Amino acid sequence: MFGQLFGNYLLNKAWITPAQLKEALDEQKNARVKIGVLAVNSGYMTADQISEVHNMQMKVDKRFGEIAIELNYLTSEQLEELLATQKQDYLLLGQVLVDKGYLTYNQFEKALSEYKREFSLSEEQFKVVQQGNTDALVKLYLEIPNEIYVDYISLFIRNIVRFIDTTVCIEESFELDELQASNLVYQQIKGYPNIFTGLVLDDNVLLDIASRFSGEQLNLGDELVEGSIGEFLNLHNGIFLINMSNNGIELQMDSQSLNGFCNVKNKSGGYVIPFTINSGKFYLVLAENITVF
Amino acid sequence: MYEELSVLICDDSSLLRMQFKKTLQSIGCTNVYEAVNGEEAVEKYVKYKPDIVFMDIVMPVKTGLDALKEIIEYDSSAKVIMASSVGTSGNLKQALKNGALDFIQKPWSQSNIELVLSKLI
Repeated sequence: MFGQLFGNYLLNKAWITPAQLKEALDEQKNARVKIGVLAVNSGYMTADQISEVHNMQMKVDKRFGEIAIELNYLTSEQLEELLATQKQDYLLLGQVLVDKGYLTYNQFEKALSEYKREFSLSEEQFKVVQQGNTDALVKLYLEIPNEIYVDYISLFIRNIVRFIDTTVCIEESFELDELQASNLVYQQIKGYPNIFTGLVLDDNVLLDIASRFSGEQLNLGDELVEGSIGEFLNLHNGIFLINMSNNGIELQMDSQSLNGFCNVKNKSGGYVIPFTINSGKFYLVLAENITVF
Repeated sequence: MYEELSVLICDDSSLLRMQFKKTLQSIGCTNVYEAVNGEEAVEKYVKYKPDIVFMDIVMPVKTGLDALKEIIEYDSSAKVIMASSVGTSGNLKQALKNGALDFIQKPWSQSNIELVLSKLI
């Protein structure tokens, strides 16, 4: 995860081009050794145990290692050992960029130290960020004062990675004024707090997310496109409600909807968080109150 | 084993209904009806009297929990399984109180469905 953010930083600072970043992220994804593979390699877990943990990961918002420990497949010492073995993804990204000749070692070193300075990161904070703790990353990157939104966005990133695309980048959030949407999928969460949740996407990204989530090759206009994108948001919000319920906050939600061309206008507490996946950019919109017209 | 079984799938997502139907067909169950909201779920239950109902919770017009209540009022022996992404303790309690027999957390797998069916028939 940090690799993607650091990649985005390199892009924003013009160290590398978008095409170079995409190529490097694709290669980095292939090069990354997963904990499951390491666990099998070390003889700590069997392939059946790995797939059981993967199935559970689809339903509960927990990391592979946490579930494996709960099921007594791994001890915490074994997990620590495996995590230490797993290469840091930003190092893999750096390695690919240097191997391809897009960056020199000196440039990589310079970019890293500028990154730490720009975000005022201590060595300790930098370690947390490197480990890919999404809560810490969201707090660092997004100036959103609402703790519940931070939890929501952290979970959203994890669900994008789980269900859609592992090469996701987030950019700085901004307060919502008015946003024009060619497609808006949304769902209202009700209770205390009320949260409007929406995704603003162009046709290309809509089709990509719907196809990946459904596992079907869909075409624009198919009824399943609406069904799939809506179900993705519904599934994500369902997991969010379970997390909140586990913290003693019971919320409900309305059914999800998809609108074509429309405008989203903030009435109160609205934020926009831009995401980029392989097929393009889309926006997550969170607000207390909103008008869609 | 499931050839004689009739099933009603109630979910507002066309994707979920399609995937559910495919899964049921793959284990030999072809007698499948669909409802897109809670109101239609009640209507189709009365019309077809299916052996088993899979019911989403968050649906337009009428929620799955309300539809469940009406179906059980109409037929106290109805076998209704809730299949939802919102497996909060509040929803689980309410579903059981309203008469559901079981709860499947989405996304479900074929083995989840088979396990539930094997317990019911």
